[in-house]
Amino acid sequence: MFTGGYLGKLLRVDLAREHHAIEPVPEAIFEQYLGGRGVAAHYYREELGPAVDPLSPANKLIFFTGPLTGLPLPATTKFQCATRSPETGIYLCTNSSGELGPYLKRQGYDGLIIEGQARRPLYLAIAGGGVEFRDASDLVMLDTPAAIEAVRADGPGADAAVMAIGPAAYSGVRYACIMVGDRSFGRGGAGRVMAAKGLKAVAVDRRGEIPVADRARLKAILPVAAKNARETKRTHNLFGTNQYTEVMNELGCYSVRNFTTGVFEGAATLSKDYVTRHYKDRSAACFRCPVACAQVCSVRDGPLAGAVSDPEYETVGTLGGVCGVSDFAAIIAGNQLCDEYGIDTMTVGCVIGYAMECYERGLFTREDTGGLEVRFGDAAVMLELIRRIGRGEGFGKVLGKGFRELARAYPATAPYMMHVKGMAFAAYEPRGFYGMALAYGTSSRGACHNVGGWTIRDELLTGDYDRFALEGKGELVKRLQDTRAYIDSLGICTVVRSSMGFTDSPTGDVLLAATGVDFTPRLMAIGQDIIDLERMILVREGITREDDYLPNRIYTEPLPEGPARGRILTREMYDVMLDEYYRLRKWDRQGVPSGRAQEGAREAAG
Amino acid sequence: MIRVEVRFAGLPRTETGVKAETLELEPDITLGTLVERLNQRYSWEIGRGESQFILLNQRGLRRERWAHTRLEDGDSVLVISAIAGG
Ligand code: SF4
Repeated sequence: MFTGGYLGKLLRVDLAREHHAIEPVPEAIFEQYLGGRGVAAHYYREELGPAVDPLSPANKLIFFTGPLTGLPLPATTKFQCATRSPETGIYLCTNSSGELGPYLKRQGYDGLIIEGQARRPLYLAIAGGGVEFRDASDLVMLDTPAAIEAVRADGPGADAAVMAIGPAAYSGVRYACIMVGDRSFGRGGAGRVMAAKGLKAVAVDRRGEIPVADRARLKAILPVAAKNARETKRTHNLFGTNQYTEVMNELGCYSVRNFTTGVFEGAATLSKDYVTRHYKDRSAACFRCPVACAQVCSVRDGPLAGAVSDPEYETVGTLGGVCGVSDFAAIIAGNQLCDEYGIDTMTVGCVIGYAMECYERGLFTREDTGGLEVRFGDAAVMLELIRRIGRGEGFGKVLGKGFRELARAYPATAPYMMHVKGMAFAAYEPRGFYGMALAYGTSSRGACHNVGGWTIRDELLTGDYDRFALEGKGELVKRLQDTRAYIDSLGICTVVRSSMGFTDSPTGDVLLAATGVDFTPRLMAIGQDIIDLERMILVREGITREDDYLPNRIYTEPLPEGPARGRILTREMYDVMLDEYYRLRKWDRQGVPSGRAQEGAREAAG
Repeated sequence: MIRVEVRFAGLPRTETGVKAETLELEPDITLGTLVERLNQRYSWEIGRGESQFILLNQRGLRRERWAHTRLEDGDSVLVISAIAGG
């Protein structure tokens, strides 16, 4: 019996009927899947059959918080969304920071399920536990900062949390994101789904209380955990995740010119020291975060003067490395454009990098590109393509379709699409560390370093694993994925997780103090159950072993230079890791959960 | 004498202010001894804490093995920092 952390209710909104209902969430579902990603996946499995088109009214946006979301602990900012992705055509889980998840809980709800299609442009104003359906006709083509400001001015309060979509979502960009203040549900195109539903924004009032089981104990935990997070993540505060750029480049594992090499000659001007010296204004924090890893940067002079944004490692690695762009001012401006239009920076960087390679190979011509010379390293072209993608103009409209659709329209260019299951790579070169290749291949949503598992620390740095070895990578990736699955279900940011004992051997009494029930010893098993559940969903949607492979470039082209020079990962080598991974998951050779895994997921699904 | 290249990236580069240098060292020197010397040279604790790592010829090496690992002519030592996923 939970005495805190959970509210036991979800808010279901039917856009077509402009109607909302409040439903109980059975405790057994939380016991099995914890919250956030796990519980969202559960509702997805129950409510979204495999035939649902991502852009049809039958698709749903399923948002869930975790038991720690919004509580007085470090970085309790996260909430999750599950939906059918227009980018990949399959299950998508995506998470965001920001105030909206915490405020939703203050309104009395663990989750928000949005279904149907509005008959007029709408935004939702959630306050006092109720929902108002407000006209958004005048807001539709506003960029995200303007839309958020307008909704705040008109909505439940100037300090309400607002998530909104930008013009890209309405222009048909299949990887349009949802901006949650200045954070986002970045990957997989949840913003495009929201546009198809006719929903511009959701605003949630900040007032309300979240019950906790043992407030005194939480009060004692908070300063210790916050101090630990601040001290151990000092470099995150100083440099953000972009601290990895020069490290990955030194290792020959950086994402360069559409993954044709792992070393970028322009990395020096993307490095943390250069950026800090020339562009950084301040560090910024998400809700209740003592780390403050966001690096707010601005361009002080030159043609892009005035541009402001906070590029993370992945954004730098895709708009920068993948496009061969070493001008950090252009990356700040590109990041800002993506935020304003509402576009996933990672996918757009990879799609532009692909277009650059195809243009240089003669597969796209000036006729295709609307007169642009789309070549690696051209920062102005990179920015112009983001604008055209955001507005759905000409070649931008083509690139906005994402890799799955592009492969159908331009099959000759398919070998240069760096993606898994339709989702573009993150900014790590998988031939430089084989565990990352397996993480990209087996992640529940396509190539992803978060859901897939960030193997780099273990694989490259601790000395426990040889980064070019195959054995043990199945175990490593499974462990990292299981850990991440439970973290994504708690409602906290992964960066601070160890400060509260949430590692791959979880310890501490945070969950007991928050909920009154001690989940802690079961967390890794819950993570495993979530991955099994997600795989059952993917299998139902037609995913097989064949979909767990990477593009052929990784299997056939050795890295041409740098510390990982000559490295290749053949399909046969990859199979060794994939077989180990399936075996440990108790999935059959086709990647179908069998035996215990299937039983566990079925039981859990009720 | 042997020549060993030492490179720094991430926080170690910021703290030492050095990107790379080649050192002439006596034969039979261990990685542990090199780390001690670098610490004195830069008045900074290289390899300190969980967030710093040393790679010898691009492969990670556990802290416990530094004292027993003999360096050879042409070796490359990389000192880097990394904490958590992006
Ligand atoms: S560590 Fe960074 S991403 Fe995580 S909550 Fe804090 S500011 Fe946000």
